[in-house]
Amino acid sequence: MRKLYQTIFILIFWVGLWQLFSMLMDQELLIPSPYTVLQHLYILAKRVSFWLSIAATLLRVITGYVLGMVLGCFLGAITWRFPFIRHLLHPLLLIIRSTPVSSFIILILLWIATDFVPVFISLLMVIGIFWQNIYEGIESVDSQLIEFAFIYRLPFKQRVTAIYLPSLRPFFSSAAIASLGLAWKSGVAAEVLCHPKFSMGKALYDAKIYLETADLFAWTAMVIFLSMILEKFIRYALAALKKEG
Amino acid sequence: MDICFSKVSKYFDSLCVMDNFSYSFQTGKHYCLMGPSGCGKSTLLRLACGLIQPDSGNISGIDQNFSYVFQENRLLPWYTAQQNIDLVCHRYDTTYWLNAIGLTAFSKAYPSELSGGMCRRLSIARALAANGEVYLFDEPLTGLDNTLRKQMICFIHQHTAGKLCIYTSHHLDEAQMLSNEILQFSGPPLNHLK
Repeated sequence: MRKLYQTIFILIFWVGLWQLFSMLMDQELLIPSPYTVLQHLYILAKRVSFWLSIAATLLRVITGYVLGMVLGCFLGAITWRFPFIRHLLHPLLLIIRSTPVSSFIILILLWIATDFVPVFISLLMVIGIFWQNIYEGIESVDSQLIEFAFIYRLPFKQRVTAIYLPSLRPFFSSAAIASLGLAWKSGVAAEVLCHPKFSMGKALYDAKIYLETADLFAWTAMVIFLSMILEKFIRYALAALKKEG
Repeated sequence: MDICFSKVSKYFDSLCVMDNFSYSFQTGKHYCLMGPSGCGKSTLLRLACGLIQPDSGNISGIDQNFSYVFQENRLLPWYTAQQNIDLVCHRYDTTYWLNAIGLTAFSKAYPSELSGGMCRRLSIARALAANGEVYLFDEPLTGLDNTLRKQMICFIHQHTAGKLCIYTSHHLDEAQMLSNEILQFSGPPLNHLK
């Protein structure tokens, strides 16, 4: 109950601060009031295109996220198993980690269809994190347990399920949570730059072009809200996975 | 099948822990290795089962199935007591082993929820349940009180009859109860005194 009151207080504090700034500026074009944003959100939500844009963005980001997760795990495992492949692919990991996301978006926009750019960008943001975490996770598996498996001649499948997967779980979880926000933000950023037909990024871009600041705020609020929902979902899924054992 | 060390040498960096060591451990006998900490007793066990390789010399008999009670319990922390035994159980069933070590009520408990002594008993039961051809026990009774020590010695003997067992211990009375041949060592490098 106390936590609920605290959450309500924090919400009121920040919305109040926003309202105060809006009143001080007295220019809806620069900082629209929370009420105006809510009104615009209500108007937007009545349009089919609003929901189509949200669904399409979610689909793109989740596709990129899942593909990045699968590929990252695979690369983490294979680069651990084969040192030559690790050395061979190391520059690729460095490039993925250090290249600004905007450079990637612009470059990839030249190579592939607009609709797939956000998918690819989300994938790119996720792959490096999973790759690194899974590699480090396998590296840090308790050598005493590996010796135990050797002595008792546990078959490969049992080694994986009884020792490697449970040891990797914290590394996988932290990668899953850390990369989700990144995939979401970069996916939407890619949409802003490449404007796929139905997308939250294009909606943000259009709102900016037509100086619809209230719409811009409304879409941004949706981006934040969905990001929170996705994070809650992934935390729930990971907890359920842990319970499953 | 016997385990024979023939002129075995082992180095860890520049430290020689075993120098031209030869000995034959015979099937059906129970040996206890005694000697000061760090003299190479555990290294001998690890060489015997192939966990580490000798730098020179030859060891025969390492291709057998081993059951090993490590110095540390090495229980899987994410598995319950029951699951830890289930993983390697090749004779009787898990219920039998948990009952034999008095942990039936703790079958669903994780190692972190058990006391040190309970984990030790679980680790011993797991090794016995695996039904190896050779048993290696590295200070198996550490952390157990006198009553439990005696119970566990009987329990071990009951399930290892006719098999080759190699124990390590620091206590003479324990070594006498566990084995029928005590080997005194000094080292490093490991040197058989008598």
